[in-house]
Amino acid sequence: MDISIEIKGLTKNYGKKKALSEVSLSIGPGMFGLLGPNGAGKTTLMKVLTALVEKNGGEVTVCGVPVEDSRQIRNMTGYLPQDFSMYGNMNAYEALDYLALLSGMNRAERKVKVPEMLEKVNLREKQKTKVRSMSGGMKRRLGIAQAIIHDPKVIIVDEPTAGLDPEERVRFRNLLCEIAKDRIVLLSTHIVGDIEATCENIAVLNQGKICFDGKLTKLLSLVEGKVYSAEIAAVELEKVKQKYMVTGILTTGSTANIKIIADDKPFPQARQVQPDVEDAYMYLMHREEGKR
Amino acid sequence: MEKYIKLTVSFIKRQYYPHLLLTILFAVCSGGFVSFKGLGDTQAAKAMEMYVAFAGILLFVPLFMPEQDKDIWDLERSKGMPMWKVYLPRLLLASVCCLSVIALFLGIMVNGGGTFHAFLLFRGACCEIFFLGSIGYFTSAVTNQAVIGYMLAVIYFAVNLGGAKYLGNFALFQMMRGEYGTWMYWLLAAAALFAAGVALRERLAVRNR
Amino acid sequence: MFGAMFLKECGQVVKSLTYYIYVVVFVLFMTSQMSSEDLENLQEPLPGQPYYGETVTKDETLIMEGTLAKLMQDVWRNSFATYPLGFYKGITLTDSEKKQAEEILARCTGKSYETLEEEMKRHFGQYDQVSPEETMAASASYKVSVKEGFTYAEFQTAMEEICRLVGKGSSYEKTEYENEVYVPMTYEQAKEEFDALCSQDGFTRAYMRLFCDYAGIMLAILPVFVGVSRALRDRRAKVQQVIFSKPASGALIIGSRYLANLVMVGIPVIVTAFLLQQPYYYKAKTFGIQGDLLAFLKVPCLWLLPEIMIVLALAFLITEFTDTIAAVFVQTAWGIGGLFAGDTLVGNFGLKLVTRWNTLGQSMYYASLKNELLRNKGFYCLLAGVCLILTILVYERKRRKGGSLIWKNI
Repeated sequence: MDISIEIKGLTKNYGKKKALSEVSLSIGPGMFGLLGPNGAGKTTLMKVLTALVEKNGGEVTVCGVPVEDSRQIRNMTGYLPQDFSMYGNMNAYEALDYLALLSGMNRAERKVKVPEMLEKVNLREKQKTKVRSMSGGMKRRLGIAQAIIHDPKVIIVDEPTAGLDPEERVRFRNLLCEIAKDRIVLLSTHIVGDIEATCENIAVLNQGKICFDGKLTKLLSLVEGKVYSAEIAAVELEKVKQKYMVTGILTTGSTANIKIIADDKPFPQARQVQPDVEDAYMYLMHREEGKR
Repeated sequence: MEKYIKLTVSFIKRQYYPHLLLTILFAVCSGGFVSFKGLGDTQAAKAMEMYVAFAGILLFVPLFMPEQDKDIWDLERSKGMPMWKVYLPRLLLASVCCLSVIALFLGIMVNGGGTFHAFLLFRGACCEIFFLGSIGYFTSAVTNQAVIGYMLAVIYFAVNLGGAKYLGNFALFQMMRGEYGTWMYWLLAAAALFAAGVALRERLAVRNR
Repeated sequence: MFGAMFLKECGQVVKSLTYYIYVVVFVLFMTSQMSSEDLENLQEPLPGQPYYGETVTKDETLIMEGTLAKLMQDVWRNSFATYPLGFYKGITLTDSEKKQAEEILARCTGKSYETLEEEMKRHFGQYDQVSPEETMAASASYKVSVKEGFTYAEFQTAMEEICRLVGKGSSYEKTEYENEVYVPMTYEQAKEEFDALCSQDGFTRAYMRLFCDYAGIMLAILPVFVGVSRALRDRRAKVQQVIFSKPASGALIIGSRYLANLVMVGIPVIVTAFLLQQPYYYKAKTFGIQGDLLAFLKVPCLWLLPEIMIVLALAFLITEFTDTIAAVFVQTAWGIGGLFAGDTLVGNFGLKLVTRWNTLGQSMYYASLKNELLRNKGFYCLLAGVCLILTILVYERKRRKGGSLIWKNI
């Protein structure tokens, strides 16, 4: 089976507002990161891919099936919405069993799969906990369990790490990487760290348009040789901020250690450093803003 | 003061206006069901107690609608302002609206050349309609579900049609029987339920949501 | 798949507070309303008793008196209940039309309208106007006598004039007024009724009709709360998106929910009916009659099931379409409005939501109305089916649009 997502010239409007305009992307197996600021259109794109929103123009196929065929699409995809929740009066087991049933699994399949999935997301011991008393992290783990329980070829997760503590976040990322073998995991986030740790291929969405699409290394190469670090007097900070793009500040006493992006060496004491994804992302956003 | 007005205006804009429109629709449609011309004591009381009474349910039950969303409720609670200060202006708003509706209907009936005792009817109707509304208010406060608020208020109304004898001084439709003396019981019960609704809500509803 | 979903949905209903309130209120209401008095009074009529109950009269004078009394009240309120298509439609006359109606009344009675008004107020002053039953009793005993020498033919002409004023479907059509005036029964009539009660209804069926009369009032309103809370729960619990994204069809999701709610609302009705029926079943035995043991299933299924079906289907449809509790207002208005607008406590089904039969017996009259009842119930079953299909369509549409149809989705 062909495991891919093909998007060509996708457009989606909400009334007069353009949520997505002329988006084209090609996604293959493995983790794929979708990065962008809040309101960039990430959620809309994911909803189009899961047949939860009708597009206005363009062509979208998931594993060769056009998104118009919503029944097929839903069979092939697993979706974890941004604010996943379940009926508060159900416990973890009941909730997962209910959603597995909606995924078309029969009794025998559910009996095997539900405990297995709970085990996988580390909820087996908490399976009697009611959804209403679950922490954000537990809910999210339950969410990923329901998204993968019917063994879909494509898994779409929307901002899965927002609101998780650092430890939970790391665990969650690892879980995603684990399940990304032989399938597509499309991960949307506005948290750059998530992408850095997990995805090789990424796209950046801004104002409904794709402004970058390619490998992580290609994104980093955009800022290669443009990231500097320097120690300046704290009082100078405002002035420097107005002139350059500052991506990091660490103030100690009257001095500040800053990280800035600039085409040429900004001041003599500055020294070039290795760029990270955050720098590249900031640079990209800044450049986009300049274009407008 | 300004802060409370702002909160209340935002409540009307976001949550309450459909209910106000519904109450207006309810008043406008009344002509199709009830006659207001030349009413005697019994007929005037009947129009008030059996028709206008629904305004109390319409206006008082939906006052906790915004907080049915747990996130909004948590956010409001995190602001440091005691929640009763949020609820009280809403209650005042609903009370003023309810009084206006009762006064409006009374005006129409007086204008229609009725022979009933306007003051007694007004006093009784206010207490009775507030009482009916307070039942729904209290229920929706402690369950945090407006549906249950409407349910119990409507059930109380329906029970009174056949089983008023079990309810003693708290029975509705007394004025239709020519009994104008139970207004004090209604008023006391309404006050108790409104106060208990606000006071117990934060304690009871948080636990069972 | 449907069976498993159905059971899960039943579990959802059982976990809701609304459902428990429904069960408690329904059971308390029914057990308090269905007193055992009827059971004790149920005796074979013997010659020489002072009172044998009431029956529809064919006596022309009584028909005229009863009908004019009704007309007098309607003209005075200037509010005429008509059922042109089976549904209630209130009619108000213009000033000149009302004058004409007053003249017709004066012509029939030989008294001025003002005199009639005085007499009426005096009569109603003697009654308690709160319960529908008392109001009906006041109306039942109110009579307006015709002037001397006034013939039935003249009366019929007068009523035709009234029908022209108020339009189709009023109480002033020949078929209506000739079946609406009640008088005390004679021994022979009472005996015939009692025999019919035994032979046609085997006691229990007649009793179950009375049960359905009271239950029908409650079931015109209560199920809407159960239905609305289920339909709204997805939105409240924020599970809409995740359920939308599953392969299960809208027909499966909505269908299983609807059926689960229907069954769960039905269970307390059937259980209460069974328990209340038993004393009558045994009483029938003392008369040497084999009562119908399954009446508690048959009669409520005919009388109440279509009613619950439409109330729930409408609740689902309105709630899915608006994502609000609007259905509560619609159903309360329909249920309570229908109860107040009801013109009789027995028969005259039309297309009313609540079909009334507030009497134990009148088996022969019931037999004559059976087709009318079947039409009414068939209509509501069909309408419920249509509402359910519309609900599924709305649900699928919401799924493709990403949420509510009328509110803004982000």
